[in-house]
Amino acid sequence: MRMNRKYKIGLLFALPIIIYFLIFFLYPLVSLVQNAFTNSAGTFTLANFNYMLRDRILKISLENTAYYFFGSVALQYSVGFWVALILYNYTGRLTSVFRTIILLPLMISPVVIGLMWMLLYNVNYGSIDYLIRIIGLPPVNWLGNMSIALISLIIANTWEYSPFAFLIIYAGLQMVPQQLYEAASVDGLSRFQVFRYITIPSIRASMIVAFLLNSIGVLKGFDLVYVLTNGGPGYSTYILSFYEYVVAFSYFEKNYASAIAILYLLIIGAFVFVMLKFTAVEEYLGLRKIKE
Amino acid sequence: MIFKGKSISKTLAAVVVIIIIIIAGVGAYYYYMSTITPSSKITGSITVAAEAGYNDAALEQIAKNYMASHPGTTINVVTLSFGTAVTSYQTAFSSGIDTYDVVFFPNVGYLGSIAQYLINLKPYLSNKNYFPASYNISDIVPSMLSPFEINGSLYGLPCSGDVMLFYYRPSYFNNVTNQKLFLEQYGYPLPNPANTTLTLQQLVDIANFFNGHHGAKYGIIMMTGPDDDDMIQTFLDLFGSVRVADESVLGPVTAPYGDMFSSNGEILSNTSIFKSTLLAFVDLIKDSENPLEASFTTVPGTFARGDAPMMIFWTPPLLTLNNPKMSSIVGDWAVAPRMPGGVSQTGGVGLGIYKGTHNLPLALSFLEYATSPNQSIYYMTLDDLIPFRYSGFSYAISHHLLSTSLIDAVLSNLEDSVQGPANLPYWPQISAAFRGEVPYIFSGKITVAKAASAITAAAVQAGAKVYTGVPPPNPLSGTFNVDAMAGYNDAALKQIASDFMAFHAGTNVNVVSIPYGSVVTDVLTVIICV
Repeated sequence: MRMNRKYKIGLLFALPIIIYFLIFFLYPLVSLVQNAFTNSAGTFTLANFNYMLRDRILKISLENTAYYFFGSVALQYSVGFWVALILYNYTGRLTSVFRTIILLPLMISPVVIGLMWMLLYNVNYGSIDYLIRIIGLPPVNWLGNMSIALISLIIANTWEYSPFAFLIIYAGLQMVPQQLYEAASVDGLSRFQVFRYITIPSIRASMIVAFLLNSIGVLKGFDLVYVLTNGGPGYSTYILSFYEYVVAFSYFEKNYASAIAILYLLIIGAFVFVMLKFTAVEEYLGLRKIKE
Repeated sequence: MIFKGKSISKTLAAVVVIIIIIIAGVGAYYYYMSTITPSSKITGSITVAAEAGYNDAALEQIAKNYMASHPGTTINVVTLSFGTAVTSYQTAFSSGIDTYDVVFFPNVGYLGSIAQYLINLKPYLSNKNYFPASYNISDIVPSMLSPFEINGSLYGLPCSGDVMLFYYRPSYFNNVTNQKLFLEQYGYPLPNPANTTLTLQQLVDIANFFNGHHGAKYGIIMMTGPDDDDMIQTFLDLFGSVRVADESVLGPVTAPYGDMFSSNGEILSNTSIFKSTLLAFVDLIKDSENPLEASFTTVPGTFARGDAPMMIFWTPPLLTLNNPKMSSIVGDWAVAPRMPGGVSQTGGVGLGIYKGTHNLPLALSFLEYATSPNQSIYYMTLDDLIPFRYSGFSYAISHHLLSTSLIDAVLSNLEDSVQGPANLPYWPQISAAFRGEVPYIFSGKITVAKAASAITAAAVQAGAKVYTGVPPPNPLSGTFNVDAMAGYNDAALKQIASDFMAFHAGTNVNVVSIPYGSVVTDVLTVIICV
């Protein structure tokens, strides 16, 4: 089959991105799969996946990832959502000031945020424990207590990324036609009815996109764990991405790290698949035509 | 049969020829290495890795000095973020990329995992063209040099020294009330670290005694947090003492951080001494500041605030504890001449050369320069690091950087430290498993035995062998006689023989006392008979 000229030109223009895709996406992916199914000598083996079944730390990491994911996403999302609603309904002159303050964490480097929270959480000179002492309560070892360390991470993560949910939902709220609210006012709808039947359906797209992006962001999370707790105390804050890093760059076991990366990829892939399958996110993102 | 008649002689001849060729090859290599001279004029450029906030200021200065005295050379100093060096090297070198020509090792524990990428410096070190007499290798403190050796090859030279020290506050120990209460509570006098080497049990008792009482907030300050090697370094300092006392059974300790291994390279984490030390260690964590969180960066500050009577830590606080701006315990702190148990761990940083360097002569020349007596002063003056040369310690005293008593304490701890070549290829896994498991014991979620099993399992998974309880074979065994002169040196020789036999199980040394005046006759008789 011969390509027509138009197709050839099109292909030529697409070539840079195809090359980019092959070098920076496909090659690493193939290499990842190859490493996962071989040992250090390069021989084919399933030992890496077999070891996964016995790996206690991997199991702990998966459990922690689940807690970290559900805790962070729930908090980030609700904080972002309610702050967006409050600010949307606020009509004072300081709107832009508040908006800037709320968005500030998004502009700070994650490592700096980690260091900042490390100081805040410090038992001896951290501001949080200082306030706790003022009200007469015993100080809390936020990062040194195995039962609390993961919660401390979730709180810091929420502070860092809830502005992201806020931004998307707030933008969605700005797009809601004012006529709808005016009509609702004429019809005598209560505030809850306006919220339930006008606001929520109008910003559903933004809500789903915010949820999806927040979720993927949390699943990819690594920086805060690395800076704040280094996985400790014990394995209490080992999440999958951190464990993968430890295996790859502390133990230098690239084959097993690749196997963990594949597991990680499958988890994120499954999550995205479910989101695409059971929500209309593709339509909202313009990836598929909206059903009539 | 293969080996018949002529074929045997042919095979033998071939084997002999091969052996001769190998011996000749090795000999020629070493001869070549000892005679080659660097090109008369070294030129070109190399890249040197430094660590931000640790040794970067000194290396920058030394690089400038080198370029000024060696026109035509360029030394690029690349500063790596704190704690990222080993990962950076592994990533670059395993891909065959010569990103760095000269590298520093932030921790000799990791040398085992990157040694394969480094050149053996031994042949160059004995070549006066590369390392002239002025380099004075004997000026380097032996316990600072030996950690860089693996299986007879030397992969680095020290550029700064460090050793774990036991800091204490005399006011707590000299307090009569404290002494009285301690005696009542524990049934023995409160030991004074100035003149007593504490046992592990005494250390635990003292920490328990002071924790939250008698004017102290904590019993002891030490690194117990999750950062890299913080926790295991502290533990090994305590375990080292127990381990060294058992050398006759477990074999000599062969490396700093090597305490956890027998002389056969088997991990000792399943032994009873490991478990009992672990239990004591967890007890100490309970008496320490911010259990499971205290790190390299927080520990000195807490001690400097005066919150505890004792601290186990590296040398950097020596330079700050007498500074009123940084310390509220000026004049009320000291360093014990020996660690609890009597054995310390060396630390320090070294420099090595990447095998794939594109400019070996320049890399060698710079390495010699950067670790020479004159230039090594900069690590101390610009980066507040502890010397690794005896001349550096003299410099510190003459320039009032440290007091003579502190230098003496550092040197005495260095002499007591675990010495020998490091060979720890499984160190990262063991260290991670240790800091992973200990908090679970602390929280009461698992037993010491279970934690020890988990640490052992992690080491085995990484490829380490486990100590099975069988003492390593002793290369020294059998019986021999030693002649001594009655009333002259026989008492001393008998004591030395007794110590020798206790240390080297399986040996039997008979000291025969010969009457004064008949030694020569006896020896001559023996020689004639033989």
